[in-house]
Amino acid sequence: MVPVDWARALERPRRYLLPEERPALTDRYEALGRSPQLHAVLDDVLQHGASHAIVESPYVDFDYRSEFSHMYSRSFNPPSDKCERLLFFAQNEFLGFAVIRPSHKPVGRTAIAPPPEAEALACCLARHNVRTAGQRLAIEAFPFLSQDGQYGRCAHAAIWSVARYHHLRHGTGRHSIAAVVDAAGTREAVDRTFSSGGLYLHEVARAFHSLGLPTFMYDPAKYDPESLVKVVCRYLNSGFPVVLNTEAHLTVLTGYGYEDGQIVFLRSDDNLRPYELIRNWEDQDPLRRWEMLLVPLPARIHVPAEAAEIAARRHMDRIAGAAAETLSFRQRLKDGEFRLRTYAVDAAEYKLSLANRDPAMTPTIIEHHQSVPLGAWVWVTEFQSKQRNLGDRAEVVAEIVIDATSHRARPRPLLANLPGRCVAWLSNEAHPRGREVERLDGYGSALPARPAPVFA
Amino acid sequence: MTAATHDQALVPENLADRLVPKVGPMIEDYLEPLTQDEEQAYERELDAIEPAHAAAAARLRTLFAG
Repeated sequence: MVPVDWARALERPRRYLLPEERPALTDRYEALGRSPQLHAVLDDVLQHGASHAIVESPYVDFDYRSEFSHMYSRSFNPPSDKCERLLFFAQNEFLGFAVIRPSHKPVGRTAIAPPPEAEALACCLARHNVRTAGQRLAIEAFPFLSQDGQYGRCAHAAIWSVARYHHLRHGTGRHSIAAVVDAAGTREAVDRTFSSGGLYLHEVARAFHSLGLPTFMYDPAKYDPESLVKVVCRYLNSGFPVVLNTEAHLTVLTGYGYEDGQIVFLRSDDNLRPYELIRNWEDQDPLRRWEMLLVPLPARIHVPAEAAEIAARRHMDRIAGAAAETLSFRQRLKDGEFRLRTYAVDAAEYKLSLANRDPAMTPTIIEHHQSVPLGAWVWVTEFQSKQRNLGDRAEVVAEIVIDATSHRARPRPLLANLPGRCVAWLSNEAHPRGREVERLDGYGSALPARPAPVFA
Repeated sequence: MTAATHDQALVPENLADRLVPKVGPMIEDYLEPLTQDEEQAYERELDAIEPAHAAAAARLRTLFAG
């Protein structure tokens, strides 16, 4: 049952003081159905010192309207076609929003800041712009939505969150839940939408493909734990969420970091909360064994991350043997002195970011890299000294850029810098070109500092 | 201000120069080239990737996502 004043513009409470009036707020919406997600959202904003929640009502939500028009409006006793939106604040600081649907799982489209313990782990945050009553607000968050358990299931919620994230972060299309159902190929017909019993993973992959997000797949059983962690981190470093299939459930990995040298993942689980910390993923994940990983890609990226990194090692190894001044670097490569970190990036953004990198990266190197023609997306592999901890200012000794649009089995290098040299592979030339540059001891990583293991 | 003048005002003086690759001469000789064994080792690593992805794709129909 919806509250009697549901979606009314007048004669209703507008502001709930937090934490004092939290029970009144949750009672209001739990009349619809028990919602652990609503409690989790409130827990997270309260960790940020939330002082009040403001109710925007009525609120017309793009995503709920798609569910309503394709599913609920066909029922004998349809629910309201309108939602309410909660806007959370810590005094004047905006903490995010949650759309509340008139369904028995009420938490609809939600964007709240990661709680303090998850902030440093978050790799996949997108800017959500909110316009309300003539005001502009914004929040960096991973999109969240609980399944309604009827039209959409957990798979739909996971697909929706990844698709919406890539829309906001990388400019891909905006897709409603109805579009996700359609893309999965499980909708009967325009006039005969039936409730969903869930999706098999090939339907999930088809949905991503149809939404313009081609997908790489990884079977965790085929990797040792260390290699699997590297696979996941390369994509998270790129800002690409990793979809995780466990037994009959689908969630999304959105970040990582380390606690006491052990990897910790950040997960969005539509059954629970937007930001869940996963410690000891191998044997203590409450969702049990990791069955499959899917990585939906926001662009034409044909080269998987691990292929890019192998190509990076190969071409760096090769060009380091070209000149006397780089032979000592090559020996360090062979001695395993470097930690490799690989990430994908829009090539134009890569060139733009060079100007804001560590000042130790000299104008000569920046000018070289900015002048070499690149494809739309590239993989970048940093060769970081193991003698320096992740996040240290001068950890990167060399880096190489690989064409993400080249052949997955033979990824093509584009440019590189290593101590004393810059190298470029120009189109239609048989050999790379090299030039001497200043010899750098090291410079800061392009990747954000995050909690990291300490290396001796 | 005409449109052409306006556009020119926005273009950094050295943009045309910036678009010319600041690269060195071709590298045709290597002091220490990769050996054939080293090249083949890298190729084996790369050749193993496609079958791994294909095998993962083949498992999708057996897994329920919820």
